[in-house]
Amino acid sequence: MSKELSNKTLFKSWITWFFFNGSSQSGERMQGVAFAHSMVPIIRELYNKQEDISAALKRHLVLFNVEPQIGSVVNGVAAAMEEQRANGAEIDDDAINTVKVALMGPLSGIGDTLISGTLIPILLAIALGITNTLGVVGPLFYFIAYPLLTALYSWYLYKFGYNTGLVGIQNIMGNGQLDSLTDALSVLGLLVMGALSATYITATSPLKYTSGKMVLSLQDILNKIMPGLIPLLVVGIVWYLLSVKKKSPIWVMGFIFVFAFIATALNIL
Amino acid sequence: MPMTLKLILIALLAYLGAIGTPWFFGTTGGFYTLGRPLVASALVGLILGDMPIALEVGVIIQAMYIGIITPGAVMPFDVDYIGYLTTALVVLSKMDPKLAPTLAVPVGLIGVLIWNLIWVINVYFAHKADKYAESGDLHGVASMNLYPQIVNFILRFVPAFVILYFGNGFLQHLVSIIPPFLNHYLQVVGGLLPALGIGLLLNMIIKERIYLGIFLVGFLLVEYLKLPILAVALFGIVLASFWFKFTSQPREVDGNE
Repeated sequence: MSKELSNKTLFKSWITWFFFNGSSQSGERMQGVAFAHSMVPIIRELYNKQEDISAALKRHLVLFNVEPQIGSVVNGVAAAMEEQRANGAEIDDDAINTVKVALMGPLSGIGDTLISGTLIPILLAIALGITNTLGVVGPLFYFIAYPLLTALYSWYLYKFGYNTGLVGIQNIMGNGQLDSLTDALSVLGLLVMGALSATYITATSPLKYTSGKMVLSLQDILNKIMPGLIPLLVVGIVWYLLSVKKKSPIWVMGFIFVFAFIATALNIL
Repeated sequence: MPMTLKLILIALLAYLGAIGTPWFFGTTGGFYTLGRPLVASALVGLILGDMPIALEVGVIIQAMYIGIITPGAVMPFDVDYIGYLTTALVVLSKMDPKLAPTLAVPVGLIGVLIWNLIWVINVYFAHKADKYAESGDLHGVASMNLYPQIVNFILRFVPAFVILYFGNGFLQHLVSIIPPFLNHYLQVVGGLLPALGIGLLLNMIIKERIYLGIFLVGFLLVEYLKLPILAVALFGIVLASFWFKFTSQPREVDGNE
């Protein structure tokens, strides 16, 4: 008789991952223990013999690291593979681990770009905009929108991984749709980041040149040409240091402190 | 509510919003929601009863750290500690909210130190989990994903409370003796620091330099047309939909019929 995982078990496995994916992160295994934790309901339903349970736990305790929110798709794939294995398919420990490792790299890349790099900043930028006019409604908006949205797609992706397996995911990653989506969202993200920079990076120059009754103020001149020129230049320099010069965030932060010191000492800022 | 209780509540929230804390809907509801400075500042405002100042701080530091992501859990600044502790300290010590970005720097680094420590300690639990796996103990393995939270709680809650409890008086004293030129310098730094968060994000999402143009458009829409961010975001959604439609066309046009 073939074993089939119930929807309830799959949900248990997903919700375990959703809550506890970061709970035991360590330098050695990353999310390995959390992955095994999310497999506990699956293993319990599929295997009865002590040695099978032990082997299954051991193969999921190895190093695992993924952007956890879209990474739930890997847990779905692993659940499907365990089910096939329990039904006698020729799937060894290596095969399951190879699939997990093959997925975690690209998925982390996509997840960091799409979720941490785009979705979160866009929602936060909108929330900041709302906060400026409606106060506490801004944080409340983010507080509801982000977790709700993420819980939905994370569960959907788990089921997707379970239903289509590795092949289904590779199809999605290979057909260009995902690249277009990433691209389109980064366009939205960039536009919003531009607006955010203009709003929140503030630098005005107190520099004045006085000659008799005539006062020349640098900021007045700048305002007539382009109001946010100084902030724009600063973002440009920071971006250049990070992306072209490959400096670390801490290094750039130190640079800003020194730059501001020189600029204030010279009365430019 | 007595002040000590308020500080305990804030320190507790700083634990709940820390990276890895599972109790409030995992990483999603915790670090990525409770741990965002804007959300944190609203909660601090609620507890301390000064929403306007708290939100003023929250908006500044959220803009500053909007681009901080943690790829592979490598964290340059701990936004959770920054959100709760900086906001609370600014509100309590009545210092100028414009100085918040500067205060956020040491607070954020303390958070990173704690995270690096947890990162090492948790190796112990992984090895313990291996032992349970050996004997096929499902409960044992699951518990090794829960026990690390005891360590996480102690290392997050205690320092947060200590910083809040002693930091307040220290800062009040500091603010009273700070000379004007230093005050001006720190304000300038605070105004420039958001460029770092945004620069980090640009570094991550820009694949070709031509995309910098889109960033520039967003910037100019606000500088010249004074549009609110929400309006720019709505334009962006329209633009992104078209972008997706035109770049995701199937490339088999001449194949069919």
